[in-house]
Amino acid sequence: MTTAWLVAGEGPGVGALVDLARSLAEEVAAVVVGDDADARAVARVVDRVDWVPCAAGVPAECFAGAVAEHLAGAELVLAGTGPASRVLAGAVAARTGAPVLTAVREVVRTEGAWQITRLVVGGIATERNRVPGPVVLVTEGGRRVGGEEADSTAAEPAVQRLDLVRLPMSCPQAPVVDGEPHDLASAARVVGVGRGVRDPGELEVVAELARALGAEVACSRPVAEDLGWFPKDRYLGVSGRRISPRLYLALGISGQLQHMIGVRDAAMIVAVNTDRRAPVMSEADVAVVADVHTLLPALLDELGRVRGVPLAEVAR
Amino acid sequence: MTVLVGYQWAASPKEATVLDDGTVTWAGANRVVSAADRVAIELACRTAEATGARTVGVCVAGPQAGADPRARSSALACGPDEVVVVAAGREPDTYEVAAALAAVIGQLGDVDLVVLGDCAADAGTRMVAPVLGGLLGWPTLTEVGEVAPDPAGGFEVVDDSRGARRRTRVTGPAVLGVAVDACVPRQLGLRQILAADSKPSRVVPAAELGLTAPALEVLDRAPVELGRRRGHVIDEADPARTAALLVDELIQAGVL
Repeated sequence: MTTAWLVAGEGPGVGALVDLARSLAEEVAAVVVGDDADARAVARVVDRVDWVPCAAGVPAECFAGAVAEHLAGAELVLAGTGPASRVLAGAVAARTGAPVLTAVREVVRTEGAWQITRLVVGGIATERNRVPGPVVLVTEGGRRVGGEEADSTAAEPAVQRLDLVRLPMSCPQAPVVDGEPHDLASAARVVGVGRGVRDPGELEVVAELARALGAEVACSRPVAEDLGWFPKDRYLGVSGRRISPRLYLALGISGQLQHMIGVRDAAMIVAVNTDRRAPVMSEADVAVVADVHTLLPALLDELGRVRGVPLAEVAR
Repeated sequence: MTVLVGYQWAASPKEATVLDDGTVTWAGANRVVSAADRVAIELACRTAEATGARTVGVCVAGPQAGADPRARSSALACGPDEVVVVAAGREPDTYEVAAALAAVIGQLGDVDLVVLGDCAADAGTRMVAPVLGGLLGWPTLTEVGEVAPDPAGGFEVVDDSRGARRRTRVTGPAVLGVAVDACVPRQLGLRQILAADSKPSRVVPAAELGLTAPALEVLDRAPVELGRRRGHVIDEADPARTAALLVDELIQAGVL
């Protein structure tokens, strides 16, 4: 029997990993490094959970070596793209001697080996690999699990507690949250901010629009890394977050391939750009040739009009 | 004590072309020390200067890096005291880069800190630091924005953990993956470029390190297909009219 192991270092945002694991293995197990609620949430959607309690002041990365030792015999390990999950997955790859593959598009089991299609060379090409031995896959974790999708009539899931050896790291102070919490992975609508939104003062209008649409706000990589307008966990692309909302509204984003890879699974893409020839316009379902600065107020007004409520009510 | 900083000698994927048969061509592409790696080098040098350590840059790359002296001089001009280029027979993958770095660290013997960039110019897996940390058994953090020697020993590190700014105390040697906005690299002038010529550097064939690669076979490559979209264009002079047409599209698509 093949067991797929999930490694969760950032809570229960592992929905996509569970889906992938279910398609590949008879049994899905997880190592959850976190608190009790994280472990129980994951346990509701997998077959068993080994829980590594992680108290406040202890970085999940502390347990990388011990988790790797615990999974020394694993054939298939899946982890999300968060910092802690990546460190845990890297340690597992080092311990098992497994290739670690990212930006995974497809995985199948054929003729006794894993066949994996992934993005390479910065996302401009795909590569098919054959891996006859163990493999570690690092890909977007997806939606949070353990909530409404869980079967409330099912028996309390089994969670086995592991007390593992820690590497010498500690956080003497509580982490300072940068910006509001978000859930890009589960969002039905996402508004993406690019350099075409020229003034950071306009971000409040973007936030209003997002509230009116019931959307999360994300951005392109330069907006997070060069301009610093958003935390880095909000940029979309081949090396950032990858999303699959019903609507992706790209505001002033040029649409380089590396960005579009992160949003290609959106059901509908709307691009707003002054440049009709921008790459994003040819990758959109609806390409709006307009200046974001002038369009946003009109768009808020129109949303308020069609819903028959004042603008302030729409944006609330 | 030595601070080791890994870097790539690579061209941006934006300069590559993928042919219909999946062949990736780099004709005319300009190999450089990427912006992300220059940030890592700067952070490594500052940390070394603060602790009286030396900085050694290590590049693990394909045969071009071994043959091109700019792979060493470009990095040396950025600040390291010494550079080692590990030249593999082909472009190494994530695990192979990490394994080669681990082997060099074993040879150097006195490495207390490893600093790696975000690898923006290579395949961008962002997994070299985690795998290297696993191979060494050292504490590893990524998305690092600040690092400073801890008076009590070890290092104090500030990183970004999914939108939360975290201050971590690390005892003993560590591997740090550095965020691309961690610091601003120093300006390079003629003095730095000339100084690079007098610094030691060497090329080590990867074969001499006795590395083993994970079992991984490349079956084929292909250009990325983004898929076909409807491509309806709204191009109106009046913003109100544009907004009305767009909202109508959203309603028709059922996404509001």
